[in-house]
Amino acid sequence: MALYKYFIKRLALTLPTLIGVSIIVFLLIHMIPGDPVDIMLGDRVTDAARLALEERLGLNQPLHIQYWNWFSNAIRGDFGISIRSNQPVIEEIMSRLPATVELTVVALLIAVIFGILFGVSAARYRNTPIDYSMIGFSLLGVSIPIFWLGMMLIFFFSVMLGWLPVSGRLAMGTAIPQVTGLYLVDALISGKIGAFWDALKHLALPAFSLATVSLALIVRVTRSSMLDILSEDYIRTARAKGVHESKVIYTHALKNAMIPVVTVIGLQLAKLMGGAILTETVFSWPGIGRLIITAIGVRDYPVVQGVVFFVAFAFIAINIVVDLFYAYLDPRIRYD
Amino acid sequence: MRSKAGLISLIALLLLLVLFAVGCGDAENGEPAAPEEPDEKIFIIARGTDAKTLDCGYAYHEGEIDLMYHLYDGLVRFKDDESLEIEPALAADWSVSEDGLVWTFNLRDDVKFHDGTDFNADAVEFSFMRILDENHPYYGLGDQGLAYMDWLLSGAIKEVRAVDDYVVEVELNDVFGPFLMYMGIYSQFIVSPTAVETHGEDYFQNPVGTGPFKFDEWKRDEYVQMSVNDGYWGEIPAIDTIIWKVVPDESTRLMELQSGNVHAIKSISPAQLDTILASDDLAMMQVAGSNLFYAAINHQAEPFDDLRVRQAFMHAIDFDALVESVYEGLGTRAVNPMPPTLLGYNHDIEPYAYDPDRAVELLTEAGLPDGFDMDLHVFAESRAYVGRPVDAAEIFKSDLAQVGINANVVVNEWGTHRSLLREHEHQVGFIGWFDVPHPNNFLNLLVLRAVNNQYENPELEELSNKALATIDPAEQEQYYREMQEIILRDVVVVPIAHSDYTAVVLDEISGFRLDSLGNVLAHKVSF
Repeated sequence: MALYKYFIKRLALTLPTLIGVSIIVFLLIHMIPGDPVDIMLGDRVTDAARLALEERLGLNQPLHIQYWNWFSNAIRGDFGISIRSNQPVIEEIMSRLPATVELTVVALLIAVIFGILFGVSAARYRNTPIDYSMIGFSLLGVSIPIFWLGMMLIFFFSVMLGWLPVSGRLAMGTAIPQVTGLYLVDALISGKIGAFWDALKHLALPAFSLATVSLALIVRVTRSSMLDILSEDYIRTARAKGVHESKVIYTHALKNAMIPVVTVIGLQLAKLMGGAILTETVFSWPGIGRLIITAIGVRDYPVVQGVVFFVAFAFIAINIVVDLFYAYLDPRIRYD
Repeated sequence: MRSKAGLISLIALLLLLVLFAVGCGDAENGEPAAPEEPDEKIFIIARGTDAKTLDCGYAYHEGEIDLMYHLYDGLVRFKDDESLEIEPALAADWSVSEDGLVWTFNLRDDVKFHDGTDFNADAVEFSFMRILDENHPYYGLGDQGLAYMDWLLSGAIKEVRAVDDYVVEVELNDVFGPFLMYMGIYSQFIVSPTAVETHGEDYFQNPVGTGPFKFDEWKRDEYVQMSVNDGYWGEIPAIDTIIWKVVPDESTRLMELQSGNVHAIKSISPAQLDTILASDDLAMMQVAGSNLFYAAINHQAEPFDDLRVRQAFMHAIDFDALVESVYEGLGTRAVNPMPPTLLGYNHDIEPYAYDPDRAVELLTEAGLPDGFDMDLHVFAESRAYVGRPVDAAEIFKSDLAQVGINANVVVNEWGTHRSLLREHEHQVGFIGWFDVPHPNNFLNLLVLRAVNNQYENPELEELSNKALATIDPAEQEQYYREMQEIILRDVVVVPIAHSDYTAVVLDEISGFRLDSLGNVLAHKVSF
C-alpha cells in the first residue's frame, strides 16, 4: 500500500472518532442537572436575559436539530459565544493557544532531549550507579503529581533562592510586540534579547514540571529499546571491528532504537496538553488549560465544549501525523 | 547523508539545551527584569480571578468590581473609613424634594473624563438611562447580561435628566430609603458617553471614566494595567501604575508575595493563616464580608411550621464551634441575617444559646419528645460565603443527633440544589447571599423576597416597606433593628456565618485598604 493510501485509510478512521467526540461534547450541556440556562446565568437574572440565552444556545429546538446546528458550526470553527466574556469561543481559544503551544513544545523538547540522553546513558552503563539513578529518577518522575512538583519548584527556586519568577509569561510591566504569540520567537524577531531571557526564565519552571512525566517515560522506553538493540549481532560486529563505543551507541544503535521512542513521543505530545491544565493553573500560565478551568468554574459551557472539541481535534490530528511519521520510519507498518 | 543530518539536529538540540540552562541561571547574576523607567512606581496586586468586563454598568463579579473603584467615580462615595457613610464625589452637593421623590445633584464643573471630554449632567443622564431606558440607543450594549443597576434601581428610578450643564435630577417612583447609598455603588458610576459612542460593543474593553486611574491594557487571564490620572479632580495617587495580576492558585499567590514579585494579594485560605501571621514582612487584612451563609427553612414543611421546633433547632447547634471549624479563623458567626458592618445592625440581640437540654424541652412541648427524621440539603462545592458546605452539614447532623433529630445529609450539585430550594422540595437547605451593604438587600430581598423560605409575615412586610419609604437613616435604622428582633424570635432563617474578606500586603506598603464590601482600594497606596 502506498503512503497516500495509508493516509486516506487513516483519515477515514478518524471520522467516527470525531463524530463520537462531538456527540459527547454536545451532550455535555444536557447532562448537567438543573436548567443549563439558569446555571449559566447565576442568581439574579431577568426573564428576558434567560430567554435570550435559551434562544442563543438554541435550547428551545429538538435535540437532533440542536446537535446538527452545533456540529455543523463546530467543524467550521464556530463554537458560539462565551457566556463569560461575550466573545466568540474560537477567538478565546486562538488568543490562548500560543501560550499553550509554547509551553508544550518547550516541555516536549526538555523531555525528548533529557529523556534520550538519560535513557541512552542508562543502557550504556547498565547495572551501574548511573543506571540505577536514572531508573530511580524516572520512577520518581512518573509518580510525582505535577501540581505538587510545581509548588515545590516555585518554593525552592523562586521564594528561597529568588532565581526564577513565580508565575506568568513575562515580568509585569514589560511587553513584547506580538507576531506569533510565542514569546520566545517574538522576542527574537523583534531583537529584544532581554525579553527573550525573561520569557525563558518564566518558561523554565512550568516547562520543567510539565516535562517530568514524559521525560521519565522516554527514559524508560529509550533504555529498554537500547538494551534490545545493543544485544544485536550487528552491534557486536561493530564493536569487534573496533568502532569507537560512542559511535556504536549514537550512530549504529540509537537510530534503530528510536522507533518505539518516536511512538511514545507522539503520544506524549497529547498527554502534555492534558498536563498543561494543572501546570497552567499553578503557574498562572494564560493558555488553553486556564481557559477551560475558568470556564468550568463559571459554567461557561460554550467555552468548555469548544475547548474540549478543539483539543480532541488537535489530539486526532497529532496522532495522524505521528502515525504517518511512524509509517515513514518503518515501512512494514503500512502493509499491516 | 542521513547520519550527518542526525548529527546536526543533535547539535542543534544540544545548543537549545545550553541556551535553556543559561536562561535558568541568568537570574543568579542579573537583576530581575526592571521596569523601563526606574523611578516609576508600579504597584502589583495578585487576585484569583480576572474581570469579564471593564464596563461598570455590567460589572457584577469580584474580578471586575475592584477595578471599577479605580477607573470610575460615582456622584457620591463612601467615606474613607469603615462607617459606610456617604460623602460628595462627582456631585458637590445635593438636595431632595419635600415629598422625597426628586433628588437634585449639583455636579463638580472641574472634572474631565480620561479621554479629555467634559464630565457634565449629560454624561450622568447618559450613564443611567443607557441601563434603565429600553429605548436608549445604547441600552443592552454588547449583550453583556445582567446590569446590576437594573436589578437594584429599575423599580425605583423613574427618570434621570440633565436640567442644566451641571445639575441633574433623579426622579423616583416612590420614596426609596437606600437611594443615596446606592449612588456610591459601582454600578451607578459615570461613564464617558463619547467613549461608549466611539467604541460601541467594544466599550467593555476600552473603559473611560473619571477615576484616579486610567485604563492602559487588558490581557485576558493575565492582567489589567492602569496608570495614574494626572488630571484627577481629587487626591492624585502616589503610585504611577497599578497592575491587577491574575494568579488563580492561592498557594502560588502567596509565594508571589513572599518572593516580592507582587505587593499585595487578595483572598487567602485558612491553611495559609499561620504562615502569614508568623511573618514580619506581611500585613494581614480581614473584614466580615457583605454576605451570609444560612440554612433556609421551608416554613410550610412539617414539623418546621412549628415555632418551637425551629427554636429547638437553634438551641441544638453549637454555631460558634461550627464557624471555628468550617471557616478556621476566616469567618464571623452570623447572629442576624445581615453582616454586622451594616447600617441598622442590631448589636443588642442575644443569639440563641447552645443548649441541647432546652432544645429537647422545646421538642417535647411540640409533641416530638423522641425527635424526628429530616433531610438536610447541602450543595457540594465551595461558594463565596462558605468554603466547605458539606462539613457544615455534617456538624449540623451530629449536633442535631444529640437532641434526637436524625438529619439525613443530602449533597446536591449546585444547579439541582438551587432549583430544589426554589421549588420548596426541602425542609432545611443551606444557601447563601451576597449583596451591596444595605439592610434592605438582606432583610427584605433575602428574608422576605427570596423564595426559599415560603415565609410570610405582614408585620415584617410593613416594617420593611416603612424603612424603604423614608430617607432618614435614623428612622430606617429603627425599623431594621425591629425586623431583626422579629426574625430572630420567629427563627425565619438560620443565620450561620459571614465569610471574611482577606488581603495580605507587604509590610513596606502603606495606604492599602480592604473596605467593608471586600473591595481593594489602592488610591492611597505609597511605598
